[in-house]
Amino acid sequence: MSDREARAATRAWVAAAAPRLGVSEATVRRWIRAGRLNPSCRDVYGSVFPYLDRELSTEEQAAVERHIAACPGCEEHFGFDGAVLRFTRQRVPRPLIQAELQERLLKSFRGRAAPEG
Amino acid sequence: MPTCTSVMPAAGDVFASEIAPHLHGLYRMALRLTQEEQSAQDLLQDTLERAFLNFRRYEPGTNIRAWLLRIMSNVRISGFRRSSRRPQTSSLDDTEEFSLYGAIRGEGIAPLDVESAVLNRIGEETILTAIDRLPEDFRTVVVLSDVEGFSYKEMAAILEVPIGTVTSRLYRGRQQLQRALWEHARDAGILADARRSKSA
Repeated sequence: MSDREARAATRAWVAAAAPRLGVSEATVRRWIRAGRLNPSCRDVYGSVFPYLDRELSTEEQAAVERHIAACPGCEEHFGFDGAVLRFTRQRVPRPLIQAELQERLLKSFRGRAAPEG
Repeated sequence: MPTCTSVMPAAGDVFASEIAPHLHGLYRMALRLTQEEQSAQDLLQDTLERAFLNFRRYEPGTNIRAWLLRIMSNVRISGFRRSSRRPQTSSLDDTEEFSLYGAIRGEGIAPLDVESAVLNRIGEETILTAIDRLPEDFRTVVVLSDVEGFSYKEMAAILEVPIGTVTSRLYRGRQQLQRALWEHARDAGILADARRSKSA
């Protein structure tokens, strides 16, 4: 990648990161200069849900953990998404089938012979 | 007329005892897919009928809940083919990025306060309403994962799609769910309260 392409990629990254982080583009640039944020954050964030779901390979999981440990912005962002996910999973209602319907369905199969074919 | 003296249980009895523990989960999935009680009951019944017809193909000891849900998914799809009705699935508009984290920060609310200031004030039924508003392909993976607890590999087998498809639908589905919860918090005045309590 030429310097020019790299600068264009960083500009695009800053423009995409600002609304995601809820700050202005100037703040994103300041955070990059201060080492609080770097363009690899975007790649790492792409794995946020597989990471939280523990669906990454051991090596990938470790790589995300290393990044988070060194990146306060990502640590907060991943922690936030984890909290929202836990909230959804714990609080979503799980209605049960009505006993009458359950019994009717089971009864419709009991005693039936194996289907032909 | 000879009577059956075999001690072997009828196929229907075996089937009924195998499916009984999974009826709650199957019913929930049918309810989220159809969003209507009678249609959910019909989908559940059609699924079980087809499962019974194919029960000899089920390998005992394998995940019967996933097997039944795969049949439900196929029954639903073939129902659409017959009726030429289609569920609302995701479109390009649905791939627009949304970050609740960014939105919360943008409101001046500390992300660490999100549970106490925002989430704990969102009613449980609101989560279901938000899930029901998702396009069906996103809704399906969100329910399979976050309500029923399936792994990516199991979801890929149930829906007969690659794991990458499951991963991207889940990413978009959860982002849209965050957006729906955000919009609810905004419209219900929860955000305004959070801002007020912060400045108080």
